[in-house]
Amino acid sequence: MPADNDQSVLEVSGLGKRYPGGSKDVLNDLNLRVEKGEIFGLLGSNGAGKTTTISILSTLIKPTRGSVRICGVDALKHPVKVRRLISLIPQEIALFPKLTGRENMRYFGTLYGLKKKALGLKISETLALFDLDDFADELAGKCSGGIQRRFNIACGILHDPALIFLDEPTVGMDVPSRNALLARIQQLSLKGSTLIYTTHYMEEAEKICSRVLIMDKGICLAQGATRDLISGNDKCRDLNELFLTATGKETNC
Amino acid sequence: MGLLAATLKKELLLLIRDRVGLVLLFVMPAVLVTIVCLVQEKVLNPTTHVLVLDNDKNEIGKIIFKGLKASDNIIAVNGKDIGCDTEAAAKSLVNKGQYQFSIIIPRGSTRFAFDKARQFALGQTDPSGTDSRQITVYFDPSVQGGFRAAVLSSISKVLLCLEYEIKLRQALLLTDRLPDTSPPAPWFDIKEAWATEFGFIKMPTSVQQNVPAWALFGIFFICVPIAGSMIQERDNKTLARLKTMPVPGFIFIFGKIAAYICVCLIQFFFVFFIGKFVFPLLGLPAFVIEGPWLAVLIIIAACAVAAANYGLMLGQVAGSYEQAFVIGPTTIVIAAALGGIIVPVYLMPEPMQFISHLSPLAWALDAFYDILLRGKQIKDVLPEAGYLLVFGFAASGISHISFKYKK
Repeated sequence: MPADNDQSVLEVSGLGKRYPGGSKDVLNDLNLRVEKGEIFGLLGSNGAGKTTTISILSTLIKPTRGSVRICGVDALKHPVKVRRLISLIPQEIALFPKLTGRENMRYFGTLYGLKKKALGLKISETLALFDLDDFADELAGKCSGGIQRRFNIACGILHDPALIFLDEPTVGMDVPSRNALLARIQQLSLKGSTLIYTTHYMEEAEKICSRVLIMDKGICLAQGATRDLISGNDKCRDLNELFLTATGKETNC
Repeated sequence: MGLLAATLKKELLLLIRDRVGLVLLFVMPAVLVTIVCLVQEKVLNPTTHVLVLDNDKNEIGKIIFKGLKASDNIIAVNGKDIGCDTEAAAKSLVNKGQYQFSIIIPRGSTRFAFDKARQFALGQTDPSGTDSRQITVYFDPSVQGGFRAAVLSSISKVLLCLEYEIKLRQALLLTDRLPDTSPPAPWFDIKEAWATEFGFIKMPTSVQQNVPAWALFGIFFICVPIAGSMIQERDNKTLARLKTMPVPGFIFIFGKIAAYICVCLIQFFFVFFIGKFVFPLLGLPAFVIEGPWLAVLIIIAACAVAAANYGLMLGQVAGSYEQAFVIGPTTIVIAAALGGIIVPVYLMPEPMQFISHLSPLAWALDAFYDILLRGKQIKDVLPEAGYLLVFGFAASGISHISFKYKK
């Protein structure tokens, strides 16, 4: 169910989270808006609050305060409705290694409510999109890391989600495989999918993300169009330098 | 329904493709049941090697040897047949463990017995009654006390019968009349009977006791692969992915439990098949179920629910594979020991008998004995099935709470 043209796919307002027993907020007053077809980069070091943010947005955990609307649906009040609109693709290979790639896709597709014939067509289409036809009937656990990562994403887009959360999808991949995967992610965006993309690789985010949000210790440090953020800071030549400056990890750009 | 079927199919495919897991789930209980039945059959019907050193070389020695040879469970060997002709050599062979015990029949035993019988027949019995010959029995130190007592009692009986026989023969020969040598008739008889509802005596063989016991042990062991699969799904974030899907969480749980209930039923039928058709080939009695099959299925299903939910709880509470793979088997072995799988509950000290009521394996085993040995019906095993289900639901509740509050 894609979002209406005049409606943001994701609207987050005043989002905050403190875990039970915790002494401080791990997420504080996060506001963001993501439009249809965007690849939105969520950037931050370890412990910045990216995982907590993704977990809240994908309905895994509830925030302490704030609101989340996905395609106009209140994610806190109607999590099940929202789950039909989203897809979480974890950083880990979240597949069943003893099932073949096709069996994994069939299982996840069935859970997303796709019926037999439509599911079959969608599987074929997605296998072709990710160039996975030759590996479809091999056990997922026996495939190479790059192929597994492609299946990991393929399983999450069968139901044409309006919003896809991609959590560091290129971790551990070699350069050619990474470039191939990034190209396919851009293809998804061109087909109208909206993606929230987290990564540690700044050059990757700079390449594919139209807008980014840089966060640290649960606070938003900078947000905007990637090009504008870089050009707006005279001292920084690229996103990597901007990130280091914003997070205070390295200031001598 | 389609979602549940898809989850069930996925779980069964995962199980079928995990060959090591399958071996553990099916071969382990089958091997365990077979070995324990064979071992216990040997314990309940032991074959003992006895060395007889006949220094008498006359009637008494021959009769004792013949009496021992006639026994089903004793293999009697004459010392002279193996070149053992001294008491020291016989003792040494027992000491080496080649024989469980040896009997030394002293020289002149027959003459001594006939002299005594003659004195008895002529009324010349020694009033002090201290004049006797000593038959020495050397035991292997590893022979258990109860077994030693049984062997000594058997030998005493043979000697007593012999004594009466010789006394009678001598009396007839010397006085042409039979003296009253018979022991006084007992006032009370003991009738041995089994408290069953079959209406006939049903002997509980080691097979009837051990097959259900170890089959249950195997069923409860499925908690290990379930916990493993839970931890794997949690660690590789498949669980997180599933939780973001528009599917109620119970579908995944029910699908998993349904798959493992199928496995438990197949596992039990596999063990049943081994007990019924393979055991007779190994010289063991066949395992038979004469009680209601539905009661058996109810108990197996209840056990499977209890074990599967315990596995889910373990997978949820344990922090790692290593923890689950230590805690799972250890707790099952403890529950089995408490539940009477290893040692019958009635042989345990009283406090342990009380604690055994807390073991799910004790409930399940009791239900099986109700069906197999006590001739009870479906309604009689429903309480035990209920306890097992309550245990399963309690475990499920704990995993739910842990799932909710674990970061």
